[in-house]
Amino acid sequence: MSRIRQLPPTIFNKIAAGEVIERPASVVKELMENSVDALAQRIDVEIEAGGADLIRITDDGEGIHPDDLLLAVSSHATSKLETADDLFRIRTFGFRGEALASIAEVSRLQIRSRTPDAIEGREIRSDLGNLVPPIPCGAPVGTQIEVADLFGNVPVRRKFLKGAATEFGHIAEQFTRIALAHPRLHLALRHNGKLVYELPACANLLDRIAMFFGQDTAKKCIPVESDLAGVRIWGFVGHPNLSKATRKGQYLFLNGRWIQDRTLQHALGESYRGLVMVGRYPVCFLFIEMPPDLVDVNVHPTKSEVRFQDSQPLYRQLLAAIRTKFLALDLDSQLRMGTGSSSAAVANAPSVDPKAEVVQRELVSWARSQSLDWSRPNSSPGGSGSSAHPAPTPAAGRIWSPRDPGYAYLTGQITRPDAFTAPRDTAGPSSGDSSDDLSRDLAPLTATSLATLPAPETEPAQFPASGFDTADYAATYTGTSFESGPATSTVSASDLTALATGSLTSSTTEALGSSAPATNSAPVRAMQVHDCYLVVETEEGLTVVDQHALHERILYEQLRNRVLAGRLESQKLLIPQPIDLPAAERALLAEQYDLLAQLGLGVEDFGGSTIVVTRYPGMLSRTDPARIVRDVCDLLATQGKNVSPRDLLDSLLHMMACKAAIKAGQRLSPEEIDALLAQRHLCDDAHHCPHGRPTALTLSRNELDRQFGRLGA
Amino acid sequence: MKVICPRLALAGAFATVSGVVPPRSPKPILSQVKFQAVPGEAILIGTDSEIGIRYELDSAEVIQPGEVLLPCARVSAILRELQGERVTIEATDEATVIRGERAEYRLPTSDPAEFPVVQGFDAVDYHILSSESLKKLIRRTVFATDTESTRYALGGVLCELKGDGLTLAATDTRRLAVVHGVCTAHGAGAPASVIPVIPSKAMSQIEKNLGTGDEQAWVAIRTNDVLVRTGPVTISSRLVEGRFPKYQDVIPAETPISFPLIAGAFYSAVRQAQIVTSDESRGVDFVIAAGMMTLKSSVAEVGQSTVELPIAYEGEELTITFDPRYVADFLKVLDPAQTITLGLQDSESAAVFTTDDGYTYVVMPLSKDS
Repeated sequence: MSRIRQLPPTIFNKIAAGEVIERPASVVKELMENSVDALAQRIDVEIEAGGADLIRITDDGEGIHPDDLLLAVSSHATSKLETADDLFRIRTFGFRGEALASIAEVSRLQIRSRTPDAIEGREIRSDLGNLVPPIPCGAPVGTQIEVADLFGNVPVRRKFLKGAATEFGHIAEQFTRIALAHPRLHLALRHNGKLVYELPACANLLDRIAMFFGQDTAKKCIPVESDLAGVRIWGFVGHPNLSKATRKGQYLFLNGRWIQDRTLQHALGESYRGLVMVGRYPVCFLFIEMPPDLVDVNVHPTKSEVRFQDSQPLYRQLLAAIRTKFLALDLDSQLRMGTGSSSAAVANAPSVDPKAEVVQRELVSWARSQSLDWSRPNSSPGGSGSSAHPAPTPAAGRIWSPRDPGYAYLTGQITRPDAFTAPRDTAGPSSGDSSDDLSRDLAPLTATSLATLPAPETEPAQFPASGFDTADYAATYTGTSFESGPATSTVSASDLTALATGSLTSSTTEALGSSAPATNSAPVRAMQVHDCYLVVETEEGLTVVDQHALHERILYEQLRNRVLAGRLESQKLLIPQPIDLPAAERALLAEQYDLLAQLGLGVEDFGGSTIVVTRYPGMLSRTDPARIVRDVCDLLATQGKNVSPRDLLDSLLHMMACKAAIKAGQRLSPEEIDALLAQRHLCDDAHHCPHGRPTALTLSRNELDRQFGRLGA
Repeated sequence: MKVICPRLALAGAFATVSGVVPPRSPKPILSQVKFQAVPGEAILIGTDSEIGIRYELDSAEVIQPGEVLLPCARVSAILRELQGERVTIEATDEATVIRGERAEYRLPTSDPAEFPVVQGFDAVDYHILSSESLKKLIRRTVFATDTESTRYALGGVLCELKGDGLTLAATDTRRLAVVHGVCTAHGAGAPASVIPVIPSKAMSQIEKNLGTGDEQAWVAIRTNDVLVRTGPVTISSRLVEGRFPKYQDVIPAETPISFPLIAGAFYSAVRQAQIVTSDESRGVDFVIAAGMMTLKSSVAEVGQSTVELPIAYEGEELTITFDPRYVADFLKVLDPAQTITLGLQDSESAAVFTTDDGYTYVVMPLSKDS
């Protein structure tokens, strides 16, 4: 029988290192945060070979007291906490007292430090856990920490490290987060002796943003500010067309600390609903300042996750701040339009980019409809009791073509099965208003308000289990998986799509179990509605197909066959196009140059964070090369190193197919509809187009019978 | 306001001005044409707020000066259908009346003061060249612009005026068209700080309004806008903001391989080869051998083609692949009888087409290796 015994420090430090020090970037984060806590004005970060060989961080902070050096590298020793109560009002970055001890255990660590009033510095070393006692040394005021041979005694971890470029990408990302949070710090980052970033102290955040992400991004940042009950939210949100394929452009800082928070990410997503496509995420640089006792940062060793005492007010505050801002933009544009038509100066003044104007108008009309919805439940606290509202079927039906009352009624049912809407107090009362607002051209934007306005104040537990999959829904709201819920995986293009997905998928699963999808052998009887969807009668019921998504899919298959059969052409550029990328993305891309070249995309370093495109696939001649590169970056960011040439080629083909396919709003002749539907089987195995939108929905006969009260008759 | 105009002259002027009026616009006032009667002439003005056209109609007989807005589409139709030699336009507070020989139209009035200002040709520093040669210069460059690029400067034509010459350049980063012409300067030149990039839409509009005769075209480039005047028409446009690439740098200094071609015959060969290409596979191999150029294309599911063209070339064989549309774009604007020179370095570098009248066209090849 083995006995229980107390572990020696070297072992538990190694264990702690496992979670605190995951990779070189973790070291950089911990040490830079220490420097910030030490009130440094300037921090220099030097990296060799992606951090595996050397990380050296030099600051001009207050230094470590000579007698404390030994303590600094022992575990659970910190200057940042005194009593247990301090843990609940943390104002420093660190407090656990683990980082340096962990680093000392798994690397060759050297610390040199001098306090301003000491005449000489002190140096302490640790060779993979073996401490060398402190000795005097010459040193400037501040602290210099060198971490060499990281994971030298943890071969598994060391082997687990990715290539130098990837690891440096992670380091650059950590560096970026700290640099964004502290514009007043002078920061420098070097890799293998080459200067990557040199950021002089600057007065405002926007300058920093421009430094990392380019002037283009900075120009498209919309300032946001909100102060409510001691909680301040401020910063910048990106214009909707800055959206990215991942959440990586979302920088959230809580009291200066970079965090990830599902609730806030969701609030952000909601505030952009209808403005960015599903599968795209808005960009933001948001700072939340709140009293430290309202939030627990001691959740995760790396402190990237936090627990708010009450996250719902914060959710609402963020949502309100951004929406109010979008509404304010409205005032600006009206003003400009008013003077625009009367004043003589306008003809001379450089006029506003028409595209930007359109986006702004969309933004405004959307924000208006949203604010109606959302102000209501908020103005009546305890809104959960307000679910008694008249059945809005006629209003919803009106959106549909009046030619066919049967369809209108049907949609009414699809849009509002009682089981689906009744428990949702926020969406309920608003539905009347927004249906009224639904003029035909605004439908794509406003319609979403019908769909999935979340009920932040409603606990998931309050949803009764009738009519739809509660588990799925609860997941959506608690934020464990935003993408998985059917109701949120919809897109602004259609209220039908939005709502029907939710109700149909769930009800079909409930009613039919594993019923087979529509077969192709049945004779096709189809009609086009709204010049956008094809409604097809099938043996099991009826299927609604998004014509664009279907055609895109068909084209994609054709293109792939053609491309696999022939050579890939690539058009060389006479004038290579420079593109600014964040260092992390550039590092990712750098590892894939060969692969990209195989696909006809020529990319070369141009110095700094700039790359140039020298040639691009000839088949994408209508697409902006910069757009191709950015999309490829996003793909690489989500798939990491495992991306195959096949995946990349696929994404390029998808881009091309999407551009060439018929669009929503295009009227089709009966022959065209037949030709499209003849290849409908292609859609059956891909329920989503590359943008994450569903391509087809099925409404089963059973469901129809049930809605009309015929079931069991 | 009351004006009597010769019907044909007015219809012509109206058609010219309406060329720039947007058919649909969020600003309804832009779908109107401003009709201004001043002593001695009538002035018609249309604009889409970026490009403006003024037409000075001196054959109009102004009885009472004033100004009025005319709905463009409606009045175009009226002028097309009216009969008789003369048209009378009379505006009162209540309505605008257009009267022909046997017909009368009353249209509602709207406030002309709301209409954006469109500059007349009020520049003191300008350049003069024949409208025929300006037309040719524009036709030779405007097709190479890229209006969809996020680099806005590529959506326009660079127009450098220097002393007694002007240079137009346009590129979409895949090919570059540069053409030189002669002109005479009046007053000082364009302000040196200005990078005069004229939007391609304005260029096309200017080109459309230029005659082929000896008429003079006056070109003035100012800090924010450009004015071009020919006869009674003045077109103004704002300049594109943004940096135009240093186009001189991409024109190869030396081309070891060089031989002459007749534009018409070469164009015909390129068009023939282009038939068997597709959007995904657009390359045509130009095989250059002693005495013969062979254009070969091959696309899965489409087919193959071989087109031969005798050439005056005696060197080594070389194969270079182009997107034939880029080559055709250039050949299309040339006189078929014109002789051009094709200069090549190797199969991976830029090719240069030159004419003896100051026209240079550089195009990048496709590369097919993977």
